[in-house]
Amino acid sequence: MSELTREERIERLDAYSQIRDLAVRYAAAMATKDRETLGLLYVDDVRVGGGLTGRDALREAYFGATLDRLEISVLHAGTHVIDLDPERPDRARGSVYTIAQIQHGERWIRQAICYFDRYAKRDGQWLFISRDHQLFYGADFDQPPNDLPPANWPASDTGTGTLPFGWPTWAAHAS
Amino acid sequence: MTAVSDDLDPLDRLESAEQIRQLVARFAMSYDARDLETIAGLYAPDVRDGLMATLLERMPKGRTFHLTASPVVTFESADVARGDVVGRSEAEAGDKWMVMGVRYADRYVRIEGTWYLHSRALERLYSSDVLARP
Repeated sequence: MSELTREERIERLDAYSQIRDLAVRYAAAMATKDRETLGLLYVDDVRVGGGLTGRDALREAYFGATLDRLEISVLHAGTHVIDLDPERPDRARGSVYTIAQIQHGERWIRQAICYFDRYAKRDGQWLFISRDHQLFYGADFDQPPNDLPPANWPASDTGTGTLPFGWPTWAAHAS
Repeated sequence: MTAVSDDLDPLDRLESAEQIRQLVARFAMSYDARDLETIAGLYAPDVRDGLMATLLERMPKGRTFHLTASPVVTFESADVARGDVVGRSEAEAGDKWMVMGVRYADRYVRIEGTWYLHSRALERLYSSDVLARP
């Protein structure tokens, strides 16, 4: 730390602050189904998959499908680990726990999620490069999450997810 | 969020508060991932072995999920701080799924520029099966 200039130290604090806000902005925009804002949280050349890039493609291909199948969706972003890239001051990674409450018609579902994020700084603004959504579980209101079949999210919003099983440290500890 | 101590450099205090926030978040996630190496590195070296032994003794077999809020940090000096962390934790316990409202009273120390967890006292505000009322 001591070799950094005062200006660089302030920039690092600004990075943490902006990145933390990104996760909260995402949650708020999902709750209000604000596709315009959701797109603006990503880099303008965001990779959408299937050879598509850009915010409009993301809004249509990803958020369109996701928001259309949800009625009420309330996301609460919590525990957020942020790792600034020691080599590149314009890159960072993060993991964000999020609890989601979702309405599907008569159903009321809660999910425990971890997003694995990559961030980039463009023109002074920190943005998502990508968000990898991994599910701990999704369960109906009156259902314990203990022994659910695999969710294979996004195929199903309920079921057992990929976490914590996908963490190599979990597998090593459990064995 | 962060109590003001007039004699501390504001920039240093902001950096310390950020490091402590990261410490709290990393601890919660590393615990859920059973990443013991990372957890050990977050404990202050002088208390590490004892705290790890206690942690391992109490570590549940089932899945856990620790959602923590941003800690309230109060600085006692430039290198010692207390934290008040409110969280919601979940734990798989056999055929039950427990949900707990928790509060941690933490103490952090800074050694050679890095903040560590020195002690943590857990208070359970409630503990209840997910399908029951607390």
